[in-house]
Amino acid sequence: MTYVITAPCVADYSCVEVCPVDCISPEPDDSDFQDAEQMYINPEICIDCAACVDACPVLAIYEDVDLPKRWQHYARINRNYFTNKNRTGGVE
Amino acid sequence: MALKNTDYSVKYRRAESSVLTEQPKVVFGACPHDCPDGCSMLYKVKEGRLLKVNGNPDQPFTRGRLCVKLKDFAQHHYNPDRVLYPLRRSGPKGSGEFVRISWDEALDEIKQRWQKLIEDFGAETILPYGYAGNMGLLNGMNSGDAFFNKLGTTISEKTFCGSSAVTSQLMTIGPALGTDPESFLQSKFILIWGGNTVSTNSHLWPFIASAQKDGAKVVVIDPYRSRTAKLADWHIAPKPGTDGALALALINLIVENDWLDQDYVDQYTQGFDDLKAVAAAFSADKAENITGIKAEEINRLAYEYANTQPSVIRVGIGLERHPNGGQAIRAIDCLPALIGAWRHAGGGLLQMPVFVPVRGEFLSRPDWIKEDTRVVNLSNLADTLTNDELNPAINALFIWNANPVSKLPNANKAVEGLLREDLFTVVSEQFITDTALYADLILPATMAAEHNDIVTSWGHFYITMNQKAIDPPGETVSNFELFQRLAERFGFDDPRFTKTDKEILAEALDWDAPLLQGRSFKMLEENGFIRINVPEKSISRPHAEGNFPTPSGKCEFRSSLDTSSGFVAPVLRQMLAGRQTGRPIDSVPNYILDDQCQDKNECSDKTLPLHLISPKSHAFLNSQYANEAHKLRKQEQQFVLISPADADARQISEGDSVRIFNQLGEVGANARVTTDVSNGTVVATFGYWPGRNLLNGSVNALTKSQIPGFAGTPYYNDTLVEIEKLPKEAIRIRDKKQ
Amino acid sequence: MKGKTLRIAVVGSGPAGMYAIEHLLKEPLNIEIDLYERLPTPWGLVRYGVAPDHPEKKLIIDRAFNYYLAHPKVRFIGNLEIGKDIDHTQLSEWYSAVIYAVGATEDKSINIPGESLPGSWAAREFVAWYNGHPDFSHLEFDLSCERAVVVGNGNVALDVARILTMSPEQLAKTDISQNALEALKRSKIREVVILGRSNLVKAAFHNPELEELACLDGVDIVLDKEQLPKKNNLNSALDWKTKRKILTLNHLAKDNLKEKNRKIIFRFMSSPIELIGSNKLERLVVAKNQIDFDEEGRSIVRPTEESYQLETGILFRAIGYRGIPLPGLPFNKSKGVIENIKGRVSDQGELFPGTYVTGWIKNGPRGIIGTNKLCARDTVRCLLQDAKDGKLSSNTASHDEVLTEVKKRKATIVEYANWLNVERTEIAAGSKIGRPRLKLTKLDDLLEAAGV
Repeated sequence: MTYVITAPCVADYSCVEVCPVDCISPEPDDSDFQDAEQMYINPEICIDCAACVDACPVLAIYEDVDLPKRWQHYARINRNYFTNKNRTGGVE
Repeated sequence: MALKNTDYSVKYRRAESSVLTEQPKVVFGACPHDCPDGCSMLYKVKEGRLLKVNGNPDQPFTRGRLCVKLKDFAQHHYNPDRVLYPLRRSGPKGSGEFVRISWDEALDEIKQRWQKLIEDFGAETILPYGYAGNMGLLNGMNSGDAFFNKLGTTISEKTFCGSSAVTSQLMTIGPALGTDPESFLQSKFILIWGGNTVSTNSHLWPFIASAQKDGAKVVVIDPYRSRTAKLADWHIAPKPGTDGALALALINLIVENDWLDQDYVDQYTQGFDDLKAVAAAFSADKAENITGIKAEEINRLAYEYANTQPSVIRVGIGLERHPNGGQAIRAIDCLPALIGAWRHAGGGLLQMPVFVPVRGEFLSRPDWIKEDTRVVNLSNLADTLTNDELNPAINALFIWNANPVSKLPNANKAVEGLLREDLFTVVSEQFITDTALYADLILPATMAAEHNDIVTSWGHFYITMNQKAIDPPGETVSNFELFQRLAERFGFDDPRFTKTDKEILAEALDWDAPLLQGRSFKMLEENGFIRINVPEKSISRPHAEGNFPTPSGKCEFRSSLDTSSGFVAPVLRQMLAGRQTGRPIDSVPNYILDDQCQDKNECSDKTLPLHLISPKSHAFLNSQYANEAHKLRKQEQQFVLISPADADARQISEGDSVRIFNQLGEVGANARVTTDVSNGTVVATFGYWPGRNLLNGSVNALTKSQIPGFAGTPYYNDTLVEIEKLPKEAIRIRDKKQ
Repeated sequence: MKGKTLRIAVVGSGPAGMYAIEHLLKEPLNIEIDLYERLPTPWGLVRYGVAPDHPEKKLIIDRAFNYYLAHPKVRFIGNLEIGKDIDHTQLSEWYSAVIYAVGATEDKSINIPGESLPGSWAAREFVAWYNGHPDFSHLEFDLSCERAVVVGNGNVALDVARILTMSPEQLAKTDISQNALEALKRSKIREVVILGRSNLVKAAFHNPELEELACLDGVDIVLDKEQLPKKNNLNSALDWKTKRKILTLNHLAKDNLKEKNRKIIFRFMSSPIELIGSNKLERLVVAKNQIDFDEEGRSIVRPTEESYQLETGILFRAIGYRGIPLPGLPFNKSKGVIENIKGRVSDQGELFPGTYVTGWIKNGPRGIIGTNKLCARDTVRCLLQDAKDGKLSSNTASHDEVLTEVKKRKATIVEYANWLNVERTEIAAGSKIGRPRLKLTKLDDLLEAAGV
């Protein structure tokens, strides 16, 4: 019930710009943006509108059920980014 | 105060992968669905095939994005389960056995059988049942009006959703558009009452989120913690159906504490004393008893709402689905005038901005309605189909843009009616729904990209063009075409039935009306959408000085509309304006307590202690898309939210298969034990197709069918149920089926 | 500036320059952009840096950058070097503003004895070569030894390791240059050693690049398990990304290595200290490092006395790019950037009016493709503020005047239509042999295909 950002992500943050519910992090002005390896979608908030899919210049975003085999673990990685953030109470 | 700039990320992403390949042809589309967002879309076509459908980035409300339902709209058009040819029943009703026939055969049969029925019983024996499967001017709710009005059939009153919201608004501020949703950017206090914006009005959310980032307080009033409630600053959860008491308490507190804008009340409202008198009975403590919300919280809400300007209310339709619902909306609608919220850009309320200059008389031809033609409200069709006292009885049913078996209150009883051998049922559909199983004839219908239309909105201030992008597959026809074919069969040669769709569309809007000044059909064709002629969002203050389009010109706390026989808006009853047939509606908002309420479910029935509310499913649009596997995967199987205490008391754990039931039926669901619901309230979304649901049930079937009291709205959210764990045998049967 | 067209030059058509254009085009302004590019081909490192086995990242060209290049307000002027064919002074006369997005075209040296021996390369050169860069396509890499060494463990190091160990069949499916493909087919290299100065906590490679090593057919990953923190002993002070790397490395490190597989070997806490060979590289001396603490308690990496030798015939240093100065602009030698304050070019506090930088030449060679978008956003904001404040000169040459002048200086400039000719040629040539494209790697061939 979510979308997932996978390996090709180049941190272009077009997805952040179009997301209607602000469920993608880090945002460009967040302190952890500069060193970010990629963007992450919060599965708890994502409303599955797929706006991010078309906005992504490198087609790095997949519906969770359509993840290519080599990137299936990215569903967990996207989720863990947020659980980890909550646990440490902020940015890494 | 700025919205996130999405332009570039939306506009400048190519569908085709190289500058060297031919780009697809792009044509304007309008989402056909029953949703306030009314998106403007782009159909991308190559070699006659619909490749992709995107949101139109130039439309300021759509902003280039669609939603979970429409994101793969192109593929939807190629769903292999589509009905492509006319079908005739070849087995018993409900068996799903059909054979293909030709359009001529289908139309001949309809002509012949209706002719006979008309001779025997009169044309009123035919009941049209068309609703909101499509929202276009040509193919939507009113697409059959002209034909049925000419034929003299029963006039169907279609009030399933939104009728109370429309009537309440008409009674209070008249046919106004209300506050521009885009002006919410300027609001400092945004109250979403009875709506789940993030799921069902998602294009409004970014405006609200932007305001929130700018310091606005966002409050959601909803009996359960919805997706929207989770993103809000403050969630208030009254017991289902008690919003009216809360609203009257707010009014009372505002008056008592003198948080009013007395000047605005004096100049621009009428009936203040009457409202004050009714509200006086609702102290914060009394409201606490009724709603379950703490008095001090009610106090705080009243204070903050009244004193944080600009404050705006986004009224949700969920409110109306309860005996006190219509009047609750009436009370809520009075709030902005009380505190002078209308004075500010970004202040007021947004409810039903549907009052745009559509030439309803031209499209629906109510002048053809024969005098004394009866009006039948569809909400209690379950009873109507088997009602011996109706004269003439309903012997023919014509269903289009609707799925009654999934949607009707007391649907199980409705099915008994549909099984009548002497009921001739024709269903126009895109898929063989649970309803279509009971048809004698099924006629294949087009989808949005396959016909021309114009769509007005009930959530923003734009009118949208839908241009035919691809040819209809098989022998599907648009509703517009369908009724023209029927008209021809019946010898109706009025130009209304012979002009082309484009010709009718060009005349469908009143281009001379003030709200369309400076706009034209050509502009609509060239841009895909036009904005109603109202001031720009940052300066929009339509009622800063009253100017309400009511009989008095003021905001009417005491309505001057004649509601002695109720009031259902003409557009919901084949454009018939007079001869209202409902129960009287009090001119002043009220809240009737349980023990005096004649409409309440048998609430003293202790065997049904749980109150079921049934909001929309996130990944479906009513029952559309519920037959598509990937949408079902998003939505997940029918689930029910239940509080930990209620679950414990029934030995129900997270994930258990349970049965939700009352005397009208049952539906199976997966239990989700959560604190998102309060004790005594359970939530199960609707739209799932009964035939594919566990126990073949649907939540709406559990709602009592009755003649509704306020503008015909069925009381879907006033359903009492019990829940128990499913016996193992039932689960085994389900597992075998799958 | 009201009512008049704002004429802007962007120098460099890699991501930095393209994102600057994106941000400029977003504004409701009367604007004209001339995009200057030294090479006949646009896209900078996206064409010449991104590894051939990362085709998804190159989608940005078709899905975004192409759109900006084709935009009616943008004019491409390729095969023209600012600072050589035309200088900064001239540009600043022609335009209201100039944005330099020239990137970092040099690399950091290790500065050890023997570094200039044949066989010792900058990874940058190897990457440019296998990506068909016309300035590097003539290079010849001696791949006849069995072991290659990569110094540094960032993403570029992993790119090099992958390309050296990937099967030619895999490579043939990519847009790797034809001569590189041929050379790699003949390669005798069996193992690539990646030397990292510090421990893996400080390793610069990203998780996705590390994880994809697991998908390399016919390649084993080797590392000294002693160097890995135990999975269940992960220091909670480590951030989430690092923990993920540790888990991945634990997972990648194989115990049972296949004889026939090529190997990628990670050696942490290792620094090269000398290259040895008579007239080409034959051996590398590697020092083992240790972690010490300085007076302030911060950890630093120091070499120990211990060292060992590796036999190798080819070494790639991948320890970072470096910017080079552009004539006429103030340069910060230690950082390798054009001096600037938040994107406005300045010399010891004094601003160069209408002159801006974005990308690696502004902040140093850090970040990934998208990092440039944020960088450009901020630079363009400064530019727009300056325009609003009337600080940009309105004395500019016209659209046509500039082109006439430019053509006088260099007849063989490559314009957009010419570039499309090159595109068509490369794609057509590629499709004949079942590859996404066949890059033209010589300047003359490019200009001929371009039709100039």
